[in-house]
Amino acid sequence: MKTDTAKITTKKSKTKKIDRVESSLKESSRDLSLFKFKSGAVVALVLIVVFGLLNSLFEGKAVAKLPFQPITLVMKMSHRGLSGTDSTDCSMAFLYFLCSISIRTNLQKFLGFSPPRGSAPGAGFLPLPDPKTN
Amino acid sequence: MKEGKSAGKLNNSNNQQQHQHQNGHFSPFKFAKLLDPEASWDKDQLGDALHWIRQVVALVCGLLWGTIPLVGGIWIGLFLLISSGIIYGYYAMILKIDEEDFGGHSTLLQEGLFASITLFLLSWILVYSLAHF
Repeated sequence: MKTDTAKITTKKSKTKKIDRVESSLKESSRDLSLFKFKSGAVVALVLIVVFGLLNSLFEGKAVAKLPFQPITLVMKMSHRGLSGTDSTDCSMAFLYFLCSISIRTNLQKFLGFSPPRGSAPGAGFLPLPDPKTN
Repeated sequence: MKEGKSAGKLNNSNNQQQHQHQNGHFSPFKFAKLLDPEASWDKDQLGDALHWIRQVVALVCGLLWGTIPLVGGIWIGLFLLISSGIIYGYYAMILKIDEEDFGGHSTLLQEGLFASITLFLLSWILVYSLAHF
């Protein structure tokens, strides 16, 4: 009897601890989302201005030559705003896209600002078994 | 008591030496771990190592193929095969790790894949355009 009561008490206190940790985690996630939103908005604004400036500077000009024939989907970006039928002409937009993905990802990783693994949007699709009920 | 103090002093000097190593250039210790099958890896460390290996391979391939030059979409497929082959050979044959402990082959092979493709394309396009046009 005494051991059963002790077990129930331990389980209750564990459940309370889990609840506390979960609510603290939710609060921290909310703060993080708000902070990320603010900084993300500033970064997005700067990038839009820079892209607009580059677009106006290089509009209608082929800035590079592609060493391959791009597929239709890629050509929509690589031949954006260019006249002529040569599909190997590369517009500023495609080069900008390649630069931003490759340099930004690697710079974030190098400087330690990259998001942790498992924080991707798809990570929460499979919920872990509830420790309270086990 | 005296033994404890001397052991503490030894530990301090060892820690200081390690700090000096870490604060300076990349120490031989880190490079040795990259090729040591007995070294223990955690998921983040291995993921980072695979990511940077892919980026180096992408940069080298892009520079080489832009210089030669190699032209055609098939070389993109070949780059993917080469870089995936190098990554697989590294973790399966050099490090000899059990991929199940790190999320399986797909997780390890995907590490840094998209960034490496864009870096490869960027370096290939830039070198090809600058060297030949």
